[in-house]
Amino acid sequence: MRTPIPTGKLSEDGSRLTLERTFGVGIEDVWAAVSEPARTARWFADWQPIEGDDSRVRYQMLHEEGSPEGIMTIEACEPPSRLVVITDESIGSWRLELTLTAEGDRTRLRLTHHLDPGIDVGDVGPGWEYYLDMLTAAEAGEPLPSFEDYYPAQRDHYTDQR
Amino acid sequence: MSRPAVSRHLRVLRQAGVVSDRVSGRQRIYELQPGPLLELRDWLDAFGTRWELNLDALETEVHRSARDRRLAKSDHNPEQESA
Repeated sequence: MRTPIPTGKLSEDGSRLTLERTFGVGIEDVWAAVSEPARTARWFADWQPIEGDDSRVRYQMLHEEGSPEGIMTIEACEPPSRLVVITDESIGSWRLELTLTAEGDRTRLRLTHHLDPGIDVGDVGPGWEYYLDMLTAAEAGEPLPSFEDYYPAQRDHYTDQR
Repeated sequence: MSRPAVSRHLRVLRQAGVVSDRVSGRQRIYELQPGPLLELRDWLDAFGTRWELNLDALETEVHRSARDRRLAKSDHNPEQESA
């Protein structure tokens, strides 16, 4: 695989990290890739509802050492264009926002990570580049990328924006 | 630290036998295995002892050379020895 180029942007005040990817398919298809368990399992995690709890889901990261589990709170779910989730304490209560925009027969995906103070953007930035490329590769049916190609190579791209 | 970075560290530690993992309910517990670290400590201890011995031997050798040189000098110029 060619060396991945970092794309993420940190907002002026350092409170938001934004990454974008464009897919050559319609918005419904990209929405399915980021919301249906069978599709999210290909690049990120399997997930299932928690009985009696409308706002939270249990997920299991299938592409990480030890396949760790966690719980996510769904703050907003507006198919096929907006999803806001808050991760649990196990990785630090991250507020993550996905927005999808149709552009002709293509779809632009924007991930916004609302950063809490103290988060090292040099660490999380390369993680997101990797995960969005996992999504891209899974959708294209290509081999999944390797995190070693992202970190620490992309660290400076993020720390330089602080 | 990002989750993939955690994974990478845990994988390396597990492959090196420094941590072991077990599943407990919905959690996976990683435990430090002191065995390989103790092995490393023994190796470093032995390494250190050997070097100490080597350095002691070197010191003895340096003293011996200096003494020999001094003796050789005094053989040629016996008067300097008393000066």
